[in-house]
Amino acid sequence: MSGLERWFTDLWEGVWTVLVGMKITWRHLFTRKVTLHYPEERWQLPPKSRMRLFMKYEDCIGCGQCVRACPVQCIYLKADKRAPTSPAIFAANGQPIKLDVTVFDIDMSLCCYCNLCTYPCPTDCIYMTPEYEFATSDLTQHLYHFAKPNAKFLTVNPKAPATPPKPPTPAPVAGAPPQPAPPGPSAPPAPQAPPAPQAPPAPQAPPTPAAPSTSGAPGGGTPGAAPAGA
Amino acid sequence: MEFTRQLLGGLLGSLPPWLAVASYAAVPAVLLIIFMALGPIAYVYAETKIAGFMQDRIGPKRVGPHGLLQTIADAVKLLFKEAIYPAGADKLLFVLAPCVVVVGAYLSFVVVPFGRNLQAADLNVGLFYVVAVSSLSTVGLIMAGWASNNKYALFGAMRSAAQIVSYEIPAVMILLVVVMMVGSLSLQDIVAPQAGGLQNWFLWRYFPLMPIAFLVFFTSGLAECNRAPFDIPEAESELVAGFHTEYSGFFFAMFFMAEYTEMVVISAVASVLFLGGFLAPIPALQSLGPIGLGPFWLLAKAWTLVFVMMWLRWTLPRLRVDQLMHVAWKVLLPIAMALVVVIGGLVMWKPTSRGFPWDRWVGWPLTGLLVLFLATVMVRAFQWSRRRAQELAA
Repeated sequence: MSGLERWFTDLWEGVWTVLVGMKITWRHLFTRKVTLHYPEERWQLPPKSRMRLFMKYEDCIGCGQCVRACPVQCIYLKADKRAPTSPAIFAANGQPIKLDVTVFDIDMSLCCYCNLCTYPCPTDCIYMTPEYEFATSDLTQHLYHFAKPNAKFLTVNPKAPATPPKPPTPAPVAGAPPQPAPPGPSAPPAPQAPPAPQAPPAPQAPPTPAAPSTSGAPGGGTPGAAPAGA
Repeated sequence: MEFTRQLLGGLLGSLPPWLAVASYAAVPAVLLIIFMALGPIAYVYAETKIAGFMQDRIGPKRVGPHGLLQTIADAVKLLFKEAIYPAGADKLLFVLAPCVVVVGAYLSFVVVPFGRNLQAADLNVGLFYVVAVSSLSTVGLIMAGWASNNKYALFGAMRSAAQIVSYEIPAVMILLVVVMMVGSLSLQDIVAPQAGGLQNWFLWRYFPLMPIAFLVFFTSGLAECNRAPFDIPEAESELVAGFHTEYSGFFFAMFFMAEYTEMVVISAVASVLFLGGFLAPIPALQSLGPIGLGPFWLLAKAWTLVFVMMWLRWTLPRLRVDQLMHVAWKVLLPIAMALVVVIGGLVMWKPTSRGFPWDRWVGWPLTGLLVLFLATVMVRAFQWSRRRAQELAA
C-alpha cells in the first residue's frame, strides 16, 4: 500500500474501531448488572456447597475416621468407653454408640474445606453446610465444640433431617457439665450420664430449666477449650 | 452582563460607572463560580456511575440514596485532608498553581453564551479569548510540576504541556474554520446564523466537512483537558500521577475541579460552534412561554458531549506518548489544515448564489467521492488485515 492509502486506512480503521468499542460499551450500559449488594441480597449457595462444618453429636459413634481423614488436622476428638451398665444407644442409622464422645472440636480457621472428613463417617453425622457467614474478630471463636458438655455450636441442623435429631440427656446431666473445658489428659470427665430415652425433639432448647448444655456454654466453655489433640 | 444590567439597571444608576460595571459583573461571576464549584460534584458522580454501568457494576450506592452523596463525602474528605508541602517545594508557586489552573478553566465561562442576553460578557474576540484563557491552565500545570520539587511531577507537567500545546493547534484551526464561515469571533455572532432548527447547525454545513471538523475539534478538546484516551499526563494506572503527584487535600480537589470544568467548557464551546449553542433543535422549543430555555439547551448539549467524553474514557485504552503525538501532528493537524483550505475556498463561494444554498449542498458530490474513496480504502484495508492475519498465523 502506498503511504497515503495507508494513512487513510489507518484513519478509517481508527475511527471505525472507536465506534465499535463505543457500541460495545453502550450495550453494557444497559445490561444487567452483576453486582450483588451483599448484606441486603445474598448469593443463594448451591445445596452441596462446602462451607462451615457441622457435626451432629447425637449420631457420632466416636470412631475418629474423620480425624484421620483430615489433611490439616483440624478435628480434635476424645472418646471414652461407655460404662457397660449404661443403656444401649444408637445412631440414626442404627449403629450402636459404644463410645462416649467427650471432646469433638473443629477448628474452622484451619479447615481447608476439602470435605474429606465427611466421606468416611459411618453414620454421616459430619458434613459441610452452606453456612458461610461465620467471620469473627477473634480467631479462637472459630474453634467449635460439638461435644455436648461444652458445646458452643449446636445450631439447628441446616439440612433439615427427615427424623428429628435426638438430643441426649436433657436434665440429668446438669450436674456434670459445669466443668467447662475438656479435661486435660489426666482427668477424664465424669462419664456423661447416658442419655435418657430420647424424649424431647427440639435440640436447641430443651424446656427443662437446667439446660446449660446447649447455647449457654459458649462464653465459659470457649477459652479453656484446649483442643487437647486427638 | 446585559441581563444583569437590565435587571439591576435602575438600582445602580446612581453609582459611579466603574462601580456599576463591577456590580453588574458580580452577579454572573458569582453564579458561574457556584456553577463551577458545585458542578464537579455532579460530574464526578456521573462519571463513577457511568463507569460502573459500563463495567456491569452499579457504582456508588451506599452514601445517600443511590450513592448521590458519595461525591460530597469525597469532597469533604479531601477538604479535611492535610495539605502537604514537599520538602524543597517552592511554596508560593505550589499554592498558586492549582489556583491558576482553576482560574484558567473558570475564565472561559465568561464568554459562554447561555442565552441571547445570558452571557457574562459578549467579547468581540470571544473565541480568541477562549483559546488564550484555556492555555492558562498549561502554565498552571507547569507551575505545579516545577514547584513540587519532584522530577516525576515535572515529567508529568512536561508531558501534559507537550500534549496540550500539540492539540491546541488543530483545535484552533477548526475554530478558524468556523470563524471564516461566520466572519466574527464573538460567540453570539457564531450562534446567530445557526438559528432555525437542527438543520441549520454548523454541524451539517458543507456536509462531510463540518462533521469532520467537529470530530477533530472534539478529539483535540478531549486531549486538551487530559481526558482518556489522551490522559497520559495523569495515567493513574500506569505512571506516577503526573503534575499533581505531590498535591493532596484541597489543592488536589482543585485540579480535579479544573479538569471537570474544562470538560464542560470544551463541550460548551463545541456545542456553540457546531450544535447551535443555546438554540433549540426545534425553534418551537426555544422558550417555554415567557421562560427562555437557552441555558437548558446549552447545558443539554454540553452535558451530552461530556457524557460522550466519559463514554470514550471507559471505552478506549490509553494512547502511548508517541501515538499521542502521532495523532496530533500526523492525523488531526493535516485534516484541520485541509479543512481550513477547503472550507476557506468554499466560503468564498457565495452561499446562496444562483438561488441555491451552496453551503448546505455543495458538499454532497464531495461526500459521494469521499464515500467511494473510503469504500475502496475499506476494501483494501480489509484485504490487508486478512493478509496480515494470515501472515501472523503463519
